[in-house]
Amino acid sequence: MGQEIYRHNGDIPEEIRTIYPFESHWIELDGLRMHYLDEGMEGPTVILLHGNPTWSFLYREIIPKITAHCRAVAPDYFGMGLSDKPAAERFYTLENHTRFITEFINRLGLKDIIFVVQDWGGPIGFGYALSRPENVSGMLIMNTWAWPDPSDFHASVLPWRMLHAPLMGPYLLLRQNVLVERGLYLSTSRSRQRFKQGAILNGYRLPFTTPGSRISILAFPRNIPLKPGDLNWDRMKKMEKGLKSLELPCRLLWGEKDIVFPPNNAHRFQRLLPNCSSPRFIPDGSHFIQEDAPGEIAEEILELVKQIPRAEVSS
Amino acid sequence: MTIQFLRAQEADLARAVPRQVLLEQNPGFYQEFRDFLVNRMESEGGNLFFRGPSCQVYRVSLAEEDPVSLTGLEICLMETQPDASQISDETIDLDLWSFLEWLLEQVGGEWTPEALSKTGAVYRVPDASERD
Repeated sequence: MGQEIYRHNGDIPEEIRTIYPFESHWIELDGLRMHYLDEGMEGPTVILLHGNPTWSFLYREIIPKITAHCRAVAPDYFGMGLSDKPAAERFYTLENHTRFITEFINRLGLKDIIFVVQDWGGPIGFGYALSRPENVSGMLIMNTWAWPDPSDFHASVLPWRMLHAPLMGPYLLLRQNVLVERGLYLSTSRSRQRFKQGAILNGYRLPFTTPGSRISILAFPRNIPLKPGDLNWDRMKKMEKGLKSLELPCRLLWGEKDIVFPPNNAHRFQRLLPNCSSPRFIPDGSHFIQEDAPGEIAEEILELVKQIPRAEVSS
Repeated sequence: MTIQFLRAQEADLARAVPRQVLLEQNPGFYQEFRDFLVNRMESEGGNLFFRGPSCQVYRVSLAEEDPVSLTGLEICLMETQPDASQISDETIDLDLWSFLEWLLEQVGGEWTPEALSKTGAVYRVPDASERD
């Protein structure tokens, strides 16, 4: 247990390639291969961070809308997407994900980053931004959190904690893959009908073909602290405390129908961050807002790109 | 549908080959699960054997890679027939589902088979929808 690594062969079936028509890039970090997209022009660098159980595929409709104005970089965390997937659950901690994204940014030499974060992209992106604020120029924050106290959804047994309880989790999330097979559908609103199209669901299924390739899908929920003493409680507490020192421009875009992070979470970010816009709510948007509102997200990203003066921007 | 526990000798496992069908790397993620499993497995001499609704026999044991402490727990289908690999995933799913219901009944408190059933129904797990 723990030594095995699942490696995707990088092959993308034609039906998925049609809607995810990007060149794959890989970088080796600590002996593991991380997959990422790197599209667009030189200049402002937008890093698009996904959550669970998604990967850079989540940003497929946003990237083409912004790349005339910026460079769009979308990594897949280890354990997700086409990146390597160590078999040991203990590998997948918030600390490790943040460390690897930091190393990724360092190795690619990315400067003056604009982060776009949703779900786990929030704690990972804020983890970086708080440690290297001088290298972050702005953030678009969507349906996420950055504090230790759990949302009502995360605290409830039905359905959330049951999904990752001992033995239930390996059955429901690994063997049955329910977060991909059904969770994505349930956590969208405007775009829900599109999940009946095979290609979109197949795109999300692509990296997670066997129970052993899904370990990180189980590990993410187990990284959410519920009470003091839990893994990441102190880290998230420190994160929340640090938000008030982040003076970079932040914009909030929020799917109003999200039951995981309801709209009060957006208002909480607005109160905590000193330079944050009023939330832009998407009334028929839900948790996976990238599926529901790709056009609105692109608009918000481009607003950030316009707001941030850059001497070195090339056209 | 319920499961039936067996003693190792009753399970007629002399020629059985274990095939892992579920692995839990962190049975102590919620302490009450670990406490129950440790006690139950100790009282049974280390392994649990059960027969699922399909009559297939399963072994619950520590994952072999970490035999010292309960940091990993596996459920193996005990294959006794040469053609056992033809046992369908659906059959195994149904047997495992029954085991999970039993486990929740034993752990108790906020963990109930009804909550599992409702969770399964929300996420359209076939085993749960068959019951609803």
